Amino acid sequence: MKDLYLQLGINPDAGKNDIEAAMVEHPELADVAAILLNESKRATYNRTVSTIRSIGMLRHRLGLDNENSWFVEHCPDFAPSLQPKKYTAQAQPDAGVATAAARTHPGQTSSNKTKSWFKLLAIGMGIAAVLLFLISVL
Amino acid sequence: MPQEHREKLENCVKLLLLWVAASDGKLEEAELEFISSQFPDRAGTITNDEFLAVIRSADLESIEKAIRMVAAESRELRLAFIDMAVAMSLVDRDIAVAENHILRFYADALHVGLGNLEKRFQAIAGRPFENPGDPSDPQWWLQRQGKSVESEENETKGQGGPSTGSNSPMSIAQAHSVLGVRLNANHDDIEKAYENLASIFEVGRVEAMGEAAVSLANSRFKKIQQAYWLLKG
Repeated sequence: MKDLYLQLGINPDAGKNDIEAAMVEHPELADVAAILLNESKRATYNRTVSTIRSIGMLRHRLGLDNENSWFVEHCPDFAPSLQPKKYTAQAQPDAGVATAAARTHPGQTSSNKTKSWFKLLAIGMGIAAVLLFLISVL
Repeated sequence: MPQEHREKLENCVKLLLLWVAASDGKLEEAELEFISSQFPDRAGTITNDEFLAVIRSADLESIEKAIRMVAAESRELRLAFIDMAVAMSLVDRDIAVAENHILRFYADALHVGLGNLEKRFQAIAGRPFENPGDPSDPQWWLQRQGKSVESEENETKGQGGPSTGSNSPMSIAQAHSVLGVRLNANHDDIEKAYENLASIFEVGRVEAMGEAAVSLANSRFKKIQQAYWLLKG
């Protein structure tokens, strides 16, 4: 099970136009995005995702999201330990109690998430630079 | 078991069973009916509406507390709980993708393990516990279309799975499905399946989990008995 919104880089409340724009941007995901363009399929998908997202958070809180777990293997997008999510407040392991508000309006926090995404990227590049430096010194 | 502990455990079991029922994000009428008939409100305890509100808002903290509470119980009780969760997932015709994930989560969180869940599911449903479907995969939707045509055909022939409507008379095919035996099962198979299921849903086994589990076990047992009588008679 994939998080289609995450893969397409859109928010769960994205409209038809956003989805179509994402399809143009990610032509390889066009058939997947088509699921979201069908209203009844999207509703079924959203209902399932909301439970799976809760399970991901619960598994994380209970320490059940290790790499060997069945869930992490099949639903990596919903394992907070593996996947920093772009659009939800609960994505960070230390985000604490997920509130209903964050759940129903995940779009509101997208700018924060984008920031932390860049932070992660910066840290990653920093580590890479240090490694390169070490390698060249040795 | 001290009274206070018992009440807490009862509420936890109730919440976790309701999460299975409500997990597809909507409570179908049959499920709502089932819940209100199976979980009558008692004075002084939390009402069903409150439970449903918790589930609708996906209050993870409550669910986490509940699962931790059940996880601290004996292995016997945890296995009996898994049986009840499986029974709950079988109330509506199909086990939904979300329900499948919840059962797996319960099995892990209660240290029962996937292998045991698969065994319990097979024993209760009479079919293997499959991998959950993947609604993010276009292929799943194609297969589902094929399946729904098939099941509609079966329904018109009266061969659907166990129906939620408890008042409608049970068909022979439904009776086989309730007992988890093949349509060509012989007398011995039916006898064996009945005895096995009757022992799983015996009230004494689930009593400690409180009213929710007891009434769920009772209603399942009634159905099993009905199916047995129909096939035996």
